[in-house]
Amino acid sequence: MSAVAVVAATTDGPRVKRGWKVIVGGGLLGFLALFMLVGPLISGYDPNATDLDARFAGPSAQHWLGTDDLGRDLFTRMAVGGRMTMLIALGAVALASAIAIPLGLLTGYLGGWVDLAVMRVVDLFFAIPTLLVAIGIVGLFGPSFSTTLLALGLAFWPFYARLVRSAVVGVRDLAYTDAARVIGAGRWRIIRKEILPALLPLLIVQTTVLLGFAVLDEAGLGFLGLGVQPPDASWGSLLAQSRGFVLSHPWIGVIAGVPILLVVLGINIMADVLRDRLDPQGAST
Amino acid sequence: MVQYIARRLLLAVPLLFGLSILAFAYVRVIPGDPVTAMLGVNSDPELVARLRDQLGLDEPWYQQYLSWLGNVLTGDFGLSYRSRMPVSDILVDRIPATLELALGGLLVGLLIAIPAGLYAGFRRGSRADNVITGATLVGLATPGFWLGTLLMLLLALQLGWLPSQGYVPFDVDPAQNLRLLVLPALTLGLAIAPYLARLTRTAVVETGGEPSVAYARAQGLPERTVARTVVLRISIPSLIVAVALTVGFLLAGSIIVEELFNWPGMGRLVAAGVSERDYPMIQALMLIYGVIFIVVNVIAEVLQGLMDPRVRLT
Repeated sequence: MSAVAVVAATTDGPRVKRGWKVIVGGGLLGFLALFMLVGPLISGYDPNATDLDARFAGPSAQHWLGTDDLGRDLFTRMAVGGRMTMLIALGAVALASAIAIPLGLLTGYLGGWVDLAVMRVVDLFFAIPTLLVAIGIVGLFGPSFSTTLLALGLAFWPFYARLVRSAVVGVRDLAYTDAARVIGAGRWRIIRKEILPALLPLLIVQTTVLLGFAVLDEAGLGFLGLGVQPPDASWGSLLAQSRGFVLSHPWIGVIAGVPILLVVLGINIMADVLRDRLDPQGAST
Repeated sequence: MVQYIARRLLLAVPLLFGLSILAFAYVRVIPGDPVTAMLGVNSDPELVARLRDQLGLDEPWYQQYLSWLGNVLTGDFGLSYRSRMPVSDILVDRIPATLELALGGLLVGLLIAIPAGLYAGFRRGSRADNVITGATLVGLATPGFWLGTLLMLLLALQLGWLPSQGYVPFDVDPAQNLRLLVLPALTLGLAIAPYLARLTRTAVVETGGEPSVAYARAQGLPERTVARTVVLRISIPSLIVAVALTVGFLLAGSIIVEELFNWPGMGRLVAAGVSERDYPMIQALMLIYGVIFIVVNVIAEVLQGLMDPRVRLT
């Protein structure tokens, strides 16, 4: 099992007032979205433009967060890198959902040998650490933007599929689905019109939780040098790059992790809020 | 009981079988020919043919699988493409360091997370619970390698309390070995602690709803006694399973922590193996990480069954 499954199974928090959560979570995400979208425009630097006279400059009026070993503006690179990371994370979660939701619906509703076969494959994925699955896939195609997206998507789907499946099993035989069956609704109609809507809250919450993991794992792959490759910036590749001079210029390594922490924190808080609002059964104990 | 243990063990067999198929298939789906990957593109055709024959690449896949599986079961994972040394020899050198780090990390994680999770669970809704849960939320969002970098900068470079990175085998210099272990183990432990704390808290909260707990309260036992003697005791089996589940996360974390602190374990072979396209190495690592996880979880389920008779019925 991986971290995804652990959190998916147990996310719960004490019943605190929700108001501050929305403010903190939404504020963090809004702030970072603004930073990523508008940041490069107001800084006025090209993220990949080098300036060898300004190597390792500290934070200043020209370079708000300083510069790296090639004199590139870190503020701009972090903003642009954030776009890259978020694009990968959103893509990976979309891919995982595209595989897991139909598969979970089918296996949960149909049962039988299809269910058995798919779930054994899922078990197998549970046994290998998610990061190792992703690394293995990077090994097949070579590190790049699209490989990272593919690798994370393929590493995540099993956890999601199992969750969807067990949720389907939970509503499959409830009175209202039986009622639909009695009035002669077909299998597809029941899955689409009766089961899927019942699952929507869970799906929304879980995609949010996965998004946080995708950001962290993109950074993990990047840190190992297996993510987005230089000169392109992503939060993962910035961290990988900062390792080379962490002892002489620790500043870069220190600030490179901050946006990751803030985004994932914001995402997790919003996932909690969504769970409280949409999915009361799965909410706080 | 024996039946329960036997069933748990049997359930692991198809999983191990599937894992072996996956690892075997992995090397077959690589774009390009493994022999070309080994020898390079401009190699002598005769040499290529001989190596293909030697590796049995011209046989049908199921025969290749069976002979490969036979080799793996006797500890032969083939030759590393990179160093031309047997993969198993390389792994044997690396496993002790990884085990040491994993145990150290697990110990740190347990020491932080179990008390925190228990405390939060027992006093659900209290200020302490809010603080612990808040810290868990921040911990879950913190990238492990970044945390490790911060710890290294603070404890090794600023304060100079600890060596920043490196490794000395335990039998060469035990004291230095342990000093070097502190930072990586602390990083790994702090990285898994939020997950463990959450699982612990959930286990306690769920146990709190059991009839036996209500009964103990109805008897007029003080809340302290209820917590210690009833809730904790009933929670232990699920705690064991929770710890086993975090092992997968511990292994993934060790890959990154080893990289960060130059800790010469198996994890460093993962990133190196992928960058160098050393497929036999990646294959062996997948198998080993998977087997460790499966074995740990089977042991946890057996322990759970030993302690909690209700589990044996399912």
